[in-house]
Amino acid sequence: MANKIILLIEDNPDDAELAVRAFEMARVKSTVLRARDGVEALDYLFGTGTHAAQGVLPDVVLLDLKLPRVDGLEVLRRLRADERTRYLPVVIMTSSLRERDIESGYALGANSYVCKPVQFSQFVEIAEQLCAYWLTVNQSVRRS
Amino acid sequence: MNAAQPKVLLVDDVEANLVALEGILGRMPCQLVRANSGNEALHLLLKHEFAVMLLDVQMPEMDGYEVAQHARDNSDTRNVPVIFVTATHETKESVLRGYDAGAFDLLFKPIDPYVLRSKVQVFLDLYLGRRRLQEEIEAHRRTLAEVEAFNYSVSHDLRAPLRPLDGFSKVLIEDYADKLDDRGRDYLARIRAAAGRMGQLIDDLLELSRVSRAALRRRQVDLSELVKAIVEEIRADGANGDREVVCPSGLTASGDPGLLRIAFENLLRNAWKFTQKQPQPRIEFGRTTGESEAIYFVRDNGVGFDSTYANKLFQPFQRLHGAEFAGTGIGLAIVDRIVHRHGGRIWGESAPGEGATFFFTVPAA
Repeated sequence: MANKIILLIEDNPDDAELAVRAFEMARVKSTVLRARDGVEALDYLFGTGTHAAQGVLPDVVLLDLKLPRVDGLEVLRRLRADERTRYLPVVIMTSSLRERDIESGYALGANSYVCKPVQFSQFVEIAEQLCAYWLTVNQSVRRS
Repeated sequence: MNAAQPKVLLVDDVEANLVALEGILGRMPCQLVRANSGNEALHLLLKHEFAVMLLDVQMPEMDGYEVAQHARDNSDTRNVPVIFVTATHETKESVLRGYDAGAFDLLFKPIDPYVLRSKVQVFLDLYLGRRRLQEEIEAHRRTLAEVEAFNYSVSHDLRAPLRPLDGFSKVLIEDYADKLDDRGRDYLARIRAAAGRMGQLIDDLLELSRVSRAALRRRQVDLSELVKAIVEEIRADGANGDREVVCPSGLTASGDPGLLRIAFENLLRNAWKFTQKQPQPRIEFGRTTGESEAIYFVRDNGVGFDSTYANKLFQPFQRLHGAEFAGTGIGLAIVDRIVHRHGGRIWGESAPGEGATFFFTVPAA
């Protein structure tokens, strides 16, 4: 059975490194692909730019909100506007707990909103739960 | 800063009278605006802000008393001070009728210019004083909003580097512990502990900032039920141990339920913490009787504090106890902020070894 794929859209290299480690420690195994900003992520998902003809969508997208060039909410808007990625599970994973960010996320069609904790041990637990849910329990639209 | 001169409204149907008033008041530091009738006056009152209105009583169609009555009926024009100018012979009845209509003053013709100028000057000074105050309040409000926004964003941005600090030090311990000697592991543990403390400090600052900015929505809050609920929560978390708690029923107050909960959580958890070493720890919540205002208190029989330092008690991060009692020293600062936002006061009484009592008021809106 093909390995599960997580697309992590995170510009902060430290946060990305720790996230990859946390997901490696989870019981449900996956391949974590990293995009350093919104443009790279959209190129990968739509098979444009430097990632021509990828064809395989991830099982879940982890989206940070504060991104350079194209910010997180704009990435989400474009994903939902395109029928190839309209139903792609997107989990916003960010440091902001501001009401209006949470509302904007859901309003634009995010499936879930998670706050990045400061303590790494807590982050490992969250990664465990995210993998268990989004990679096995959750049913998504078949990958094209 | 608004440098425009205050405006004075002159209302008289007789042109000569208006000219006379303009002659008397012309050199004063104000802008004179004239109206020939009650209707014109009311119209102008809605368009401009006036420091005072000189209102002739004897006018056709609408007399001065009616104009004043209409002005008072409208919330936009209600507060303009009025000086009635009347030719009626000075009788008790006319004076009373003037004050019935809400006049601030009543002048009889012929007008003494000196008297008129003095009275108008008083109202000009009042107007300028109030405008200065309003500007100062606005400036303070803006500064406060900026400071709060700064607090909030600094705390949030300060938090970000804590993730790699905590994360990579943990990874080091997990993956490289065997490559470190005891001292190396000790130093790493200290780094992690310091990062943890910094995280706690930032969380506390954020909480303090949030409590200062949060909207205050007043409702009737059952304080007795609130205290009982919090006590149950503290007990349910077994690590805290139990205490004897005295809490009368039916004590209510008007306040924001969320903020009051935070205040009581801090007071009760403090009381719990500082009674740790008591053989018979006891915490009491109540309201003092026989006062003109309701004064609530939370009392414990714990370690107490030195009253000499009572003025530091409610400042953030000022601790009156050493490391034997955990905490960053933000709890009372948060309670203080919440009590003050409700318009109340808070103070503490204690002596070392003799427990502590925290009194506070929560005035009705």
